Amino acid sequence: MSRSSLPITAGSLLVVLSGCVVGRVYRDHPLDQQKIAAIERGVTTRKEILEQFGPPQEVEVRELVAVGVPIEQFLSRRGAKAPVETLVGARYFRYTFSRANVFGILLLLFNYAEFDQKNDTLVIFFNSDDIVEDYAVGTDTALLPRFGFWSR
Amino acid sequence: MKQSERRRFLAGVIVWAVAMLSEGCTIARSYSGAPLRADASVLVEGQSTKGEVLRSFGPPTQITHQTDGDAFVYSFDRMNFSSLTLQEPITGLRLFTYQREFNKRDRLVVLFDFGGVVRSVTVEHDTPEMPAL
Repeated sequence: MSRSSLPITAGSLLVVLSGCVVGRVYRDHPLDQQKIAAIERGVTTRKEILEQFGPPQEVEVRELVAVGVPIEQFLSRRGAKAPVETLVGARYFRYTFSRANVFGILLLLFNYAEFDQKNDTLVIFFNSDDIVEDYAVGTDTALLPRFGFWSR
Repeated sequence: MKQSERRRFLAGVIVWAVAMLSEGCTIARSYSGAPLRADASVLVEGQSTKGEVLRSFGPPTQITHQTDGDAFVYSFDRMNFSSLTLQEPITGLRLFTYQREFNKRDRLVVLFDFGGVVRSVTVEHDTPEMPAL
């Protein structure tokens, strides 16, 4: 590149290249892998889970108690008892740590934007005795590209 | 003015006019969730259990309850958006706008019976069909 064309190139770049956007979104706090490793199926209780992990983001508390009940109980007739829905406790807890990366290139005539959201998730199922029946953990935030398509 | 100079001048005017008219082209990508961890063919209806599903595919995106058992939903959503806008620079009048948006997802739904055994599996992989532009 000749010396005379350098200012022109630099000037053109300044006009064309308006900016670059990099954004990060974090929701809630990361899951503690050591605490997750300590969960034992058939041993750990719901109380212990709450003590270790705190309040979950999602709680499923309702059991389908109506299943198997004769349909006559649901019919509206004089003297009939209304069906009772029993809350028997949480069936599962869900803990989530969400992250999102935003990447954008803003030029004069061309814009590119990318939004990627991934979650670390821990789902714990309990049996009727409030003991951990099963659990699953996913660490998808590790898959987030740092700078959009360049690091994808 | 020679003919070659005239052509060059005309080409310059056209390029300038197009550049002034072109407000811009926008390309956007959105990703939500992660691709499915495993192949749905590992699940056997009537045999695989809820625990096996959790170990193969991880925590489900959504858990629902049906009258005859639970259902796990795994989902990976993608969106590709592109637009081209031609705008008159002085008045801001938009002369032409073209937009295109594709929303595709990979989705796995596993239905269980009350015993936690897989009753039915259905899967779709639509994200590979996503056009690049």
